[in-house]
Amino acid sequence: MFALEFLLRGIRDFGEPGVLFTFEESRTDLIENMATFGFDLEGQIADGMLIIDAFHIEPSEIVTTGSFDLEGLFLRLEKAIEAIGAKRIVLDTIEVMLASFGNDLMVRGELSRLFRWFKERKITAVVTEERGREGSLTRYGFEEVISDCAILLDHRVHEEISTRRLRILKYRGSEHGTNEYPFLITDRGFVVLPAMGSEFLPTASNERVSTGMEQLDQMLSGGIFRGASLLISGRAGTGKTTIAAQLVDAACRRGERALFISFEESKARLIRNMRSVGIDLQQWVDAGLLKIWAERSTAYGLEEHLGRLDRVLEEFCPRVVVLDAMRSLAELGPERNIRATVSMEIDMLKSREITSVITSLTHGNQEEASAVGVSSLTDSWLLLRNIEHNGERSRLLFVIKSRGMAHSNQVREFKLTTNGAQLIEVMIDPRGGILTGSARKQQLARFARVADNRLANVKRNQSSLQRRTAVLRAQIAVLENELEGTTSDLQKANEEQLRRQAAIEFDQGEAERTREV
Amino acid sequence: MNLNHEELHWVLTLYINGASPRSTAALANICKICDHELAGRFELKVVDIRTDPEAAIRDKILAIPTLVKHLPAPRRYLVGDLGNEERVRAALEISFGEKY
Repeated sequence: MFALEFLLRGIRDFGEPGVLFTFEESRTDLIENMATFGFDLEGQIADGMLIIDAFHIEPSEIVTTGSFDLEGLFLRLEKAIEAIGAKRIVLDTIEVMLASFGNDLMVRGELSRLFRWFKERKITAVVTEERGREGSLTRYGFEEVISDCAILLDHRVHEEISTRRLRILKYRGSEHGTNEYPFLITDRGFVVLPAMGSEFLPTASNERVSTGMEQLDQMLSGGIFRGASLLISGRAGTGKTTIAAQLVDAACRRGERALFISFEESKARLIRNMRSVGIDLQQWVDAGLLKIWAERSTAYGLEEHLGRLDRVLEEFCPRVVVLDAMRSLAELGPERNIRATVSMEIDMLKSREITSVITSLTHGNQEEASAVGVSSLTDSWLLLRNIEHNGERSRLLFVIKSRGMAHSNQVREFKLTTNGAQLIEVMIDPRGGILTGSARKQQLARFARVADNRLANVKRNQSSLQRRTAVLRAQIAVLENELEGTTSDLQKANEEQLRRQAAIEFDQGEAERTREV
Repeated sequence: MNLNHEELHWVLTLYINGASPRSTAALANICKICDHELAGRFELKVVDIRTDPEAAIRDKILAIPTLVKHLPAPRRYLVGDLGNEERVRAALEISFGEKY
């Protein structure tokens, strides 16, 4: 399948002619089989882009009687390649040839020669072979040595769940991912899924996507990043679907396409339920912006679900995808695979820069615990909780974390109104509890009273201040007067002293003058 | 095998690649067998892929040299220079020491 796609896509998408030598299937079978995946082999052959040569070798008819070479094969290949100017070749498989002609140095040498021959003509060749027994990679141990690149495909069935994996073992002259990558054979052919945390995911965008709730966007410092994933967890009836729908509504309003995968409710019920809180999804469906995909999760196996998802993503190109609810994915496979499954879905979406919203239904007190396992996979996590206080029910929304958000662990009360979900500021009472509903109103009244008191106090203080000021000023005036008075008195006294002194000196002077005469 | 020896008839085609050592050897070997063992009860066609590549392609021959035994049935492909006498005889269904 892999090899055939390599060849056929080469023709269809890159315009590179290809030659297929098949030892496995008949020509007609091949053409029919590939048609179901959407490949038109007949057309390609007619256009001179593809040559199919089918061989039926029956090992029991063959006897080796001495030394030989594979010149006949070379001849055929050469002719086929030259006929259409092929750039790609597939030999599927070399199993039979090796088995018939024997595993000896001759065959190895010929295959090695063949590969070099391809290289000289700058032809890319994919050769398939069955895996060796008992864990060895290849049947004869030499095949991977003469190849430039070796890819191992694996298919395991575990508890009725089949998983396919691909691993690149060797790639001469180039770096390669060493992980096992899951792949699917969908109705569009071979699809490889990016592995988690791999180098193939696009760099994170800085663009923010609105949740459709202004106050929530503010809490998240603008919204969630495009291409990021948001987990909304909570018990039944806490409003997860509504918040998800609100985000979808906001996206459609911006003209972006959205996909809503509903495992829980039928399309009609979903629309009806959302309408009752003021979110009109029908208008978006009618406008072709919203696709609601409702299915019983148990209807399909996991692989098939992922395959269908891939196809819808390819054809509809949504920018936002909601998965409601994640738990249903667990029914597709064993419980412990839920994490792997969800991470696979998230990666599929992330690699297409699709913003994803996943709701998770939690039970009982292991609320946070069960969601925690998945929360580490998502960029943001909202937890919804209903609380009862004095007979009243209130809804709380906790933002546990969100990448790109200033402060995590914030909480708000919210209401489901006829205008969708609305957040309101939360009140904390002095003992540290959260107040909602009428308790909130009481507290608000209390605050108002306290505020009034303070205001009155302030006023009182102000007039008292004014009085004191006046008193002090008066005192200052008196002192200043004193100062003035004292100063002038001193001055007068000084002058008197000086006058007297002057008079005495004059008298003495007179007396002296009189004596001398 | 209860075969009427008079009725046995071999139809063989040998595919070779010009005058390569293997091809020369194969040709020599089959001629020896035909002349000594099959005494005229054979048709041997020699196809040289150098001069007539189409024939090799048409007949889907991959290994060279290859000797195809069309008759007696069943069809067999003898691959190689025919140097392994025992195998060749067995494949051609010629018993040792019998002359026809």
